[in-house]
Amino acid sequence: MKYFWILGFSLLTSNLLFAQISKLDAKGGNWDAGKLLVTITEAGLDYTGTVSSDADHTILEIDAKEDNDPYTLTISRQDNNWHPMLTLWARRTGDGSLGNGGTIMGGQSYIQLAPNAQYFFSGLVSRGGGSRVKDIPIQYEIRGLSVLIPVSSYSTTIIYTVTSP
Amino acid sequence: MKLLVVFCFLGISGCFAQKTETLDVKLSLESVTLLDIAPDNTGFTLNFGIPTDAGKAVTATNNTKWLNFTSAVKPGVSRSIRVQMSGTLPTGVSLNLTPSAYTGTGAGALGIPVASLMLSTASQTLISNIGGAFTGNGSNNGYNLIYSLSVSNFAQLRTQSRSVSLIYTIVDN
Repeated sequence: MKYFWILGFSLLTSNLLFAQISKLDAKGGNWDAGKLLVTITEAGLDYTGTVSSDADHTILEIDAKEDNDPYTLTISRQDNNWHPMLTLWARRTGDGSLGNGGTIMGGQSYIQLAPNAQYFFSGLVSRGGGSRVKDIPIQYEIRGLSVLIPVSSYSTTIIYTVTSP
Repeated sequence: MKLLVVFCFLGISGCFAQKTETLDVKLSLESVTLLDIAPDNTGFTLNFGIPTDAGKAVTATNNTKWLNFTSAVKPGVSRSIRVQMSGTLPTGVSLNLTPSAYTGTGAGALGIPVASLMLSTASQTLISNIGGAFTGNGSNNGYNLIYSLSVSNFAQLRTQSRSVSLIYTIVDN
């Protein structure tokens, strides 16, 4: 019986101490950047260097099981067939809808994606009135475009991971 | 007590939840082939003029034109720029073309120029081994085209005027 109470207390405190992210959703689908490439109009010139997605190509939503749960979002890329001259960048172009008491910090400047996960932004999820952190717009950019890169199809996968610290 | 430790661990580890989402980014780079004469493709005149000393050879040169290009190729593919003349030169006269070494703001596999060509109606290679490259745009970028008109047979030389066209083509090897 003593063990039962200790176990119950342990589970209860662990749930209180360690927040629980219940949802991460990324709407908007894949990004085909090749459609946005600007044609080179003059012999002797290279590509202008960058291609950007819509400012809200991806819309993120984060939810948690408890009120005021902190969250941290990391971002990375896993290359399928990518050229080392090409760099991929991401930024948050808005705050989205935070609800009552929800917060969001960081990620407003472009960061270069790498194979290792790196901090993107963080905040608190407020569940007051059933709200959550949602409609966070994300924009992408590819830099380093050049005719020096061999003609081919290149692809990489962007990975978002949300955790509760 | 061992049972308690296991349950505590399960309880805590279950709370370190993380969620992941992914999306793919695709970029297709297409073949690019652009060739241009800078500053423009208007014609120019090569005029022998009158020698200042008796017995001196007559020549005429022009180096105002530059060859600009942009090339994006698949791995293992290379290109060449070829030149041929359309029309007929005055008898006893030959037109030579000497490309300079590359100069300019470009980069990449910019090719290898020939030393010099005597232009004819046959297509001849001017620059070979071009890969992914861009020369820079406008005069002083790319290969300076140095045209030289010379007398190949004085016995056939007559006062006359002719126009010819030069056709540059970039091709996959």
